[in-house]
Order: sequence, then C-alpha cells, then structure tokens
Amino acid sequence: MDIDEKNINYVKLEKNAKRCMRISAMAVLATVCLPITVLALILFDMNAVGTTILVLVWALAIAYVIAVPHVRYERYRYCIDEEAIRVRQGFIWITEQIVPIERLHKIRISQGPVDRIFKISRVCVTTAGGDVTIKFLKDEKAAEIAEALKKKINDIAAMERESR
Amino acid sequence: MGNIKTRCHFSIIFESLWKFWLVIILILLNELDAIIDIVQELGTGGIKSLIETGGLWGLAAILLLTLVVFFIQFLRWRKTWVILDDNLLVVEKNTLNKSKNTIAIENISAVNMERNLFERLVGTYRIKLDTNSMTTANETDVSIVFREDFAIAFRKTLIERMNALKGNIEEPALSKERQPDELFKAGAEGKKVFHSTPKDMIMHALYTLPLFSLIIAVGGIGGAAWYVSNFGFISFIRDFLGGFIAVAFMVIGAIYNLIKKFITYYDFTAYRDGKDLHIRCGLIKLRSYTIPVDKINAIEIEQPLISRIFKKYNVKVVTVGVGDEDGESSNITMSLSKEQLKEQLEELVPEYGWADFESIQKEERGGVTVRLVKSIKWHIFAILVALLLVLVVELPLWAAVGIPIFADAYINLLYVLSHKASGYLVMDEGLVISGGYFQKTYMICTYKKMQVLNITQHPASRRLDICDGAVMLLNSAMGLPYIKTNLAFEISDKIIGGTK
Repeated sequence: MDIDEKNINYVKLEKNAKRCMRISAMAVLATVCLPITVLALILFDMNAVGTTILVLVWALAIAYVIAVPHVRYERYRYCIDEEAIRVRQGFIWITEQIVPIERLHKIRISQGPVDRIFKISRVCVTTAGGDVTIKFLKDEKAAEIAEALKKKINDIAAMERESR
Repeated sequence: MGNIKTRCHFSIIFESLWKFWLVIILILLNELDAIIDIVQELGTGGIKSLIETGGLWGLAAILLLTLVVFFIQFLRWRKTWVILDDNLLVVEKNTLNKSKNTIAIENISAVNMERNLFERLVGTYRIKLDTNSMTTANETDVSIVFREDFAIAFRKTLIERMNALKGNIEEPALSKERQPDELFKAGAEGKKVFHSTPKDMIMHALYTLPLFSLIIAVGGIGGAAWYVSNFGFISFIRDFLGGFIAVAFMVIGAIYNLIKKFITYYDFTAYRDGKDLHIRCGLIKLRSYTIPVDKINAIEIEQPLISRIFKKYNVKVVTVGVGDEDGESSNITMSLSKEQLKEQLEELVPEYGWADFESIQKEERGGVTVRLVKSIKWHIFAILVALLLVLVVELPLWAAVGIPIFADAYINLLYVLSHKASGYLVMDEGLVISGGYFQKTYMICTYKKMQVLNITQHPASRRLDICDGAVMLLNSAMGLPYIKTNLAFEISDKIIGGTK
C-alpha cells in the first residue's frame, strides 16, 4: 500500500500555494546560482567546457523551478480530524507526519515575506516531541485551523483537570 | 517543611571562585617561563626588583580580579532566591539579567542530589531538578546548593508534594529525614536491591569500551610491539618518537576511559520503591537519582560491540533529568547476561514486561534493496573523488583509487550492519525497535509516550510498499526500520488510540 492509498480525507492546497512555492524556489535558486555564475565569470576564463557547465547548471535550475513546485504542490496535503493532524509532503522522499490531537501543546501562526505577498500563512503545532507545520494555508484558513485547534487544546486541558 | 523563601548555601560563592582560579592556573601554566622568572627575581632582588619588573602588578591584577569575581558571585548569591510556595517552585534572580523561573511541582520529573569533593568538605548538597519540558530536555532546569540537613528536608518536601499531586500519598517516597546515603539504604529496606561488585563495574567498563578507543589502543600497542620486537626499542624511539608519544596517549586515553567509568559507576546500586526507581553510584561524585517511573519515556537496552560479542546487555532509561550532564549516566543496570537482564527488568520496571525483545522480527527484506539504491550516490561520489584525485591532485593511482574505494566500502559496511541490527516488534502496549551499526540498541516505548510519528518513503521503498521513519518522544527519537507501509499506519492508529 502506498502512502497515497491510505483512506484518509486529505485536503489539498489552494492554487496560489503553487505560485508561492515557485517564487520560493526561484528565490532560493537566485541566491545560489547567481553568485556561482558571477564568481565563475570573474575567476575563470570561460572556455567551451566552462560555458557548457554553466549552461547545464542554469538548465537544471530552470527545470527545478518548473518541476519541483508542481510535484510538491501535487503531493502536499493535510488532514485534521477529531483524532490527529496529518501532513504529507515531499519531492523525492515522501514524508507523512502524524500527531495525535491530544499531544498538542502550542499553536503558532507565522508568515514569511513571500507568504505575505500571496496572503498565505503556516500553522505550526508543537508537541513535547517536536513541531509539525502545515504550510501554504490561506490566511483565513490558517486562522480558522488555529482557532479550532486552540479550542481542542483547551478542552483536553479541562478534561485532564477534571480527571485529577 | 512549609512554604519557604531562602538563598543557596553561601559556599556556592567559593565554589564559583574555585572555578575562576582553575582558569587562572591554566593561563599561568601556559606562561610558566615568565612565572619562573618572577620567582627568581623575587629570590635575588626582593620585592623592589619585582615592582621594577612589573611582576607585582601582575599579582595585584589577579588579586583584584579575584575580588571582582568574588563580589559578582556574592551579589549573585545574595540576589538569588529559592521560593517554595505551595505547589510552585520559584527561582528568582535579581542580578543584571533578571529572571524568574516558576515551575509547577507537578511538572518536576526528577529530584536528584549529588555532591562533589568540595561540597563533601563543606557539608552541602546540590539538588538538581528537571521538568517535563522539551526545550530544556537536555539540561538541568534548576541546580541549587543547600546545607546537608536542609537539602534533605527540602528534597523530602518536594517529593512528598509531587506524590500528593500525583495522588499516591500513601506511598511517600523516602520519608525519613536522613543523609541521602542512609536515606537510600533506609528506602531499600525490604526491597530487592541490585548491588554491583567492583568486578561487575570493571567488567561493565570493559564491555562498554568505545570501539574507536579500543581499535586505536590495540592497534597502537600491537604495532609498537611488532616494531620493537623486530627492530629494537632504541630504533623505535629514534624513528617513531612522535608515534611513541601518540601510542602512549592512546593507551592512556583508553585506560582513562576505563577508570572514568569505574569511578562513575562505583558502588552502583538500584532498587524499586513504589512508583520510583532509586539509583546511586559514584566514587568522587556521589550521585543519587530518584526517577518516577511514570516519567520514563522509553527503555534502552544497549549492546556495544564488545557486549555483543560476549552477549551482555545494559539498560538505560530515557527520561528528562537523568543523563543531562557530562559524566552523568541514565543506566539502571550494569552489563548483564540475558537471564540477569530479565530478572532485573522484571523487578525494576515490570511495566515493560510485555516487551519480549528476543522475539523481535527482522526488518523487511526490501530494506536491502532500498539501501542498495541509496548506496548508488556514494558509488558515484567515490568515482568522482577518485577522478579528482587522479586528474587534479595527481596522487599515486593506488591512493587516488584506494581511498575513495575504502570510504565507499566502509559506508556500505554500515548499510549492511544497519540492516543486520534493524528489527521491530509491534505489541498492543507499545513498540520494540532495534537498530545500530556496531552497537545494537533496543528501544522499548509505550504508545502513550509517543508524540509524533514520521513515515518516510524513498522512491525505491515506494515501489516495494515499505517505509521507514521515526517516532518522536519527549527527549529522544526512535528510528523505525523498514516495515510494510500498512503496518506503519497500524502503528499510527495505535499511537492515536494510545492517547485515549
């Protein structure tokens, strides 16, 4: 059974998440490929081999920007139900993180500069054993999820207090 | 003991001062020649010549610095308060960096007492508290020093309040106000106590000797012995003086490792009292741990390489508050045979009796294929490095090809060892997972202690319908071996069910 075939009602991301992923990928590549190109042009005499390598690097970079956000977008999904939060993501490696709702300690909403342009946020849930982040959520959706989870945490804390 | 507001014992000022002087001594040792000159100057020309050469100013500066450090430590001691207020413990520091550390007593996971040589001489104890917090899981949350009798009473009060909040008032842990050593013995009365003899401790130190240190020591001694027997000692010293010193250091290092373990585990004693585990050990620094069993996140059964050869096992607990600091260990047993291990586990942590680690299943055979696929990147990397070494660095062919091949072979050996050691056992109560390379480790954990499950699928494992991953605990993680994907989801269901 593939991770994909598990019978869970996953939610896929909104369309603008893919654009955000692409812009993020471009930003990362710009910070990596541009300095390499500039340094190569300054430090080395660009013969045929050097030029070919540089062209190949840029071709790979462009392929990365086109393909990776698409695959990541198609793979990314999450599910929040009464029992657990599940987040599935990945490009080559697919990972699925599963957190029982009752383990939640803290909820945090955050937004990076690119996220702000696309009006998306990320919800980070913290447990005693680490964090799990649901990324590329619309602002309203992130707020809605955070509020629902906050309520669940409070309910659990109240139940624990009663059971003592 | 009721609610209190107190300071640490004032000897803590001198304890910090002692550390400062150790640094000064180390610096001075670096300038040994200059010190010898100053002493000679003092002998020949007296104080006057010392003033002229500026040596006295150096001494005055050290004295002044000592006074400044003393004053800072005095202020720190004076402005630090330890407040025990009903079910809260507050450590308030009103120094330059003001802080107020408020801890709910119910969240305290460990109340440990220890004393070093200085504290033994002064008659104080250091109380170390740890809380169930991921952010401070690898450090001690509160470390305070009190006079012996006060420390004992303070610890007793804390444990009683912790027990009262846990609802087991009928089992006050270690109720008598006595010195921890007597207290430990008093608590052990009528209990089955596991006490280690000096032979057990030496054997434990040997069985758990790190592989690297063993290889270096054996290789170094063997090589040196071979050379000396063939070419003579004088020739060895003349040709390999550097090597001789290095071998000497390696042997000293290995012996130091043995002695350190022997000192750390000296008089290792463990017993179970109600809901707490009690451990005591140490020669120079006597350590006494109280570990509430409900705060144990997992049990680790370790088999370092030498232990694997001799079929020995030692057990550690994964819990917040024990094993956080250098030299501390979270062992609850020394190295034992399988039969002894079963007996001690049954007595010390019967809650984990369900974990029959002998029945562990080997990881899925597909794990070999996935590792083979993963190793391709290392083969490519080795070829590229070999090409680089031949074409650019111009190393001799045997070295340029041999080094990358050796590195690649070693990585692949690790893959093979990892597959050999990986196994799992899914029970209704929890999971048993084994793994490692040269050292084999079994981790046992109940579902309710598992916080997050990460399932990972490599493209190759996706084709084989298997996955690996990790289970995150409060202050540790258990790596999952390659298992069927549907089994991973069954485990996730059990973890979710474990919260109910």
